[in-house]
Amino acid sequence: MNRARLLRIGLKVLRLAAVLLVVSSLCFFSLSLLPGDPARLMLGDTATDEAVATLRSQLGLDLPTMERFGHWLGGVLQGDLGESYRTGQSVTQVLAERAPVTVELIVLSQVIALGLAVPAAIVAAHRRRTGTDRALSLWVFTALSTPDFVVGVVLIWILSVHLGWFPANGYAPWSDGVGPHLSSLIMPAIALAGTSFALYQRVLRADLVETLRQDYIEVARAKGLSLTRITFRHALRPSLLGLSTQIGVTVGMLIGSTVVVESLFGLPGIGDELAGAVTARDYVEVQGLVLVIATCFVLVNALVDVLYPVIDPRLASSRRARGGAR
Amino acid sequence: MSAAVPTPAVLPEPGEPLLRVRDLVVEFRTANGPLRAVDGVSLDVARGQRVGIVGESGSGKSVLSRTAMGLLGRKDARISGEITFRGRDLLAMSDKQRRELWGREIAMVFQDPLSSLHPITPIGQQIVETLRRDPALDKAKARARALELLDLVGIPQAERRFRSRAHELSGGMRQRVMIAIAVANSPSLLFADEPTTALDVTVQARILELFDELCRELSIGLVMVSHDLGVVARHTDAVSVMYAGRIAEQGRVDDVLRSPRMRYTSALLAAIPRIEPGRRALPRPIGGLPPDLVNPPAGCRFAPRCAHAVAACTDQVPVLEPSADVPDHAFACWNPTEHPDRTEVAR
Repeated sequence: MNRARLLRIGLKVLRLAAVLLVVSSLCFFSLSLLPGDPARLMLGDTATDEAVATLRSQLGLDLPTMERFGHWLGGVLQGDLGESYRTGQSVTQVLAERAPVTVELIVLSQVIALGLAVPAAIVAAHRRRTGTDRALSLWVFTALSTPDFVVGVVLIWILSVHLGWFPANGYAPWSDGVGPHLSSLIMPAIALAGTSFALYQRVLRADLVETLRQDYIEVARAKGLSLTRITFRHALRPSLLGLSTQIGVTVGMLIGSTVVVESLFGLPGIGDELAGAVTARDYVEVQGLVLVIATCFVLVNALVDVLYPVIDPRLASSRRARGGAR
Repeated sequence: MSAAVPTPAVLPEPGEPLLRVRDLVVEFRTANGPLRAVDGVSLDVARGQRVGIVGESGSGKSVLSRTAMGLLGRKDARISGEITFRGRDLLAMSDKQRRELWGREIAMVFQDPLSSLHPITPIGQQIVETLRRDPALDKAKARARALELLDLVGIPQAERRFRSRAHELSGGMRQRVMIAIAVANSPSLLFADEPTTALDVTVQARILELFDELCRELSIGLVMVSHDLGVVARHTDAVSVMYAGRIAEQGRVDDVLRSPRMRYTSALLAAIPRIEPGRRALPRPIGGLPPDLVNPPAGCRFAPRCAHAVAACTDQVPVLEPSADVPDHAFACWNPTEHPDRTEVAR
């Protein structure tokens, strides 16, 4: 590993850290602007002002905002995300319990979204401007414009209430068996997949249409290769850059969508926890969750960045040619 | 086919020609009406014969070669006429049957080698892929054969180049790779669409010599589409000059380019800059623009730009007919050059 490359990686890490710092401070200060007091919310309306004041000083809420942020940041740098006001549970532990559910939900939804979007994009690109393409477009725009919770409610109504295939609500951990576990995740995953499916199909279709116009596709045809081989071996890979960028952006967006979907389906994930924490003004927990979510988003996009030259080696050599201080 | 279809002037060796095109018409639908890119073209290519198709951009030469190969089919355009490859009707074939021929019996070298090679797949793999159209060839054999091919087309250090990608090679190397791909399965018919236009002159000469060698050694029938008369003069046996979708003049390359009869051919030759001792003629460019093929002029399509047009030229279509003294030299002209001045093409 040469020095230029080390420098590039170092700069990247610094940039990621800067992003996370900005996100954390924005989050912290905007939270402190919100009306409502966690101590008051915890003790209820009947509590005396004195009791509230005591709790506030126990929680450190009487300190100036800047100082609280300093304390919190100091803890974070030592790997301590603090403790929830509500439960006293450490935020790290909350994450350890709840993150797997959300991660699994997102992964499953992405598998569904890509599993549908890639074939749909290929078919649409090969038959562009035909009835098939238009029908797929209609489906895609319907998926794009339907909110997740509407899809969720419709799924519950059809698949749970009428057909009884899946439980309407609740989460079954792996220990309940693979079947029940997946049954409890499949509907929320579908609900979550709608928007991603639509975005992926649009992006990949557009890139494929462009690739299929390239000379090397005509050459592949003139070699007598089959349409399947031309599609998968020649057209698909050069068309993946837009899709990978879109996946990076979408995964970040999905973490927000899990708030609604997890609440609707009663899944004990991060989204559900975050909703509760915001309602209770549980500043410390919200901070911790947002920091972790932001980190995931940044890491996913860094991963996409690293993947670009793997998908298209021309990018690697042009980066080298530029001297590579990026 | 009706008896009215003219026989092309250049007769191949006795026996069935490799490629036989008769009265081919290719028409595209456009917003302004049907566009006849190719209008009644007949052409024969024999094994080992090198046939040039010359014309300006938009004269229909690329559409002609793509249709003759079958890459442009009835799905893409309205096509009438007859195309037979080794006695088989190409236009009547299914997509699958045509695909069987492509890359094995018929191949094409395209104009721009950079955009024609896959940007990501290493070039060796692109040759292997073509070779593996032959089910008898396993991976190892195909790889060995690909290395031989790279060597055959004159790429040094084939072993190392095998893993290179298109953007890592020079223009000439890329076109050599394209040629290696095209001849991988020893096709009997090879189309080359402006194969050297994207290359500089010294590389161009070497690539054209490579074509000559391959035609001679593998007795490939070559159809070379070019706008460059010099290239065609030196590297083909027969030539068809196209203008606005029609054949203007057709014959042995020596006859057509040394004593052109059709006015368009002579105008084309006069437009080439030439430096000869004792005779310094400035190139005379052809005035005007090629006609609009949606609404082509009546009569001879070159008439509006022709300095020698007579009354018949603007109202009657000239027929492609053999000349009286040289039977395999045909031209379509109402007022041909009577005493050909034995124009010398730079050889």
